Amino acid sequence: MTTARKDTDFLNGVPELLLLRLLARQPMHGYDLVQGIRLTTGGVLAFGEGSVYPVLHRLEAEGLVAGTREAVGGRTRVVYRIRPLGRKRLAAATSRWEQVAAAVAAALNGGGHAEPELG
Amino acid sequence: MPNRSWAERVDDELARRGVPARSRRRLMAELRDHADDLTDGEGLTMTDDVLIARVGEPTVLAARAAEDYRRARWSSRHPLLAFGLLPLPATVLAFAATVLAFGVAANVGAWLTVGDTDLLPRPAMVALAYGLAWGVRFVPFVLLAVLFTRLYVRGRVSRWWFAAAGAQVLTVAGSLVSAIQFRDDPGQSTWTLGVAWLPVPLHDGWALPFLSLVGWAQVAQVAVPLGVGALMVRAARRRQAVLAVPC
Repeated sequence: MTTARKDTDFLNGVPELLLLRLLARQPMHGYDLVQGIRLTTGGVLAFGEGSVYPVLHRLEAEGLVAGTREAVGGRTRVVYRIRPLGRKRLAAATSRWEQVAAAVAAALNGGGHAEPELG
Repeated sequence: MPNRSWAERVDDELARRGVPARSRRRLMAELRDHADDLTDGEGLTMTDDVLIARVGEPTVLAARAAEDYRRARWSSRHPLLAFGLLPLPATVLAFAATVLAFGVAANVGAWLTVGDTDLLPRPAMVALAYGLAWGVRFVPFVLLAVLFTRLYVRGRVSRWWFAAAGAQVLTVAGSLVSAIQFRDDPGQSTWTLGVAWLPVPLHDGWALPFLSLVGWAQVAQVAVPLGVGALMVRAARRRQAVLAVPC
């Protein structure tokens, strides 16, 4: 339970980043977005597929995406589109994530910092 | 179409966590669409086990959804505006709304009973005047206590933001002066209304009370909204404690 919670905390912001990245390419509905995440991450990032919808609704409330119910393949689905504010957020989040990833990679490789002196 | 028991469990868990009905309906509709896409796209039969494995376990899904809806709230994203800058304008509005509501209710009541407020018997007029004078001491601040406590509990912002809003509202509540002085001569009665740190117009001139008018009435004006807010926070904590108990 504790581990799962920590994983969730660690992944805070990642679903938003992935959803915005996919929507920056083209408008998509929920199922397509889940498939897109699975394909682009090679299945490494797996979470309850239903959890993308509250994230999408929050992004919509923040003015980052817009969702409209449209006909898709003979059915109606809520199709999401990224908005200009969403593109700005995506650029900022991508930059921040790259900095974090580079810092973690540097730390794991043991380079860039001297060992702390003891005594 | 999701298995009914799974969908019901998700909906129940969302409701227990305070997700508004409109947001619940929208989420459940999109989850139904998603389940249909899973059936059509992957040929899956929607059993409880499949829904839990693919779409999510109801309690986990509802918890994450409740957290996202909380983060989507305006007051959570702009605590400075909601808890730092809104309280004083809201106090003025709540005060004006209380006076307006009281005036409308008094006029409607008089119109229904005697046809005109001027025809009201003097005891009724006195009761109305005292009701208004005492009502403005408590009603606006209780309304504000309910409003800001709900924003705090639902938005789960820092307690310091809640304290900042509470301090502003309670400072006004604790310094509001509202007193009726009735005289038998027509037109000679006075209603003293003001804030104790500002000059107060009295029937024989102006007073600079500098908090000297603050007494037990003002203590009650602070205690009542404070108590309402404390009870609401306590009730919310108890609800959260119940939710935290594993079933």
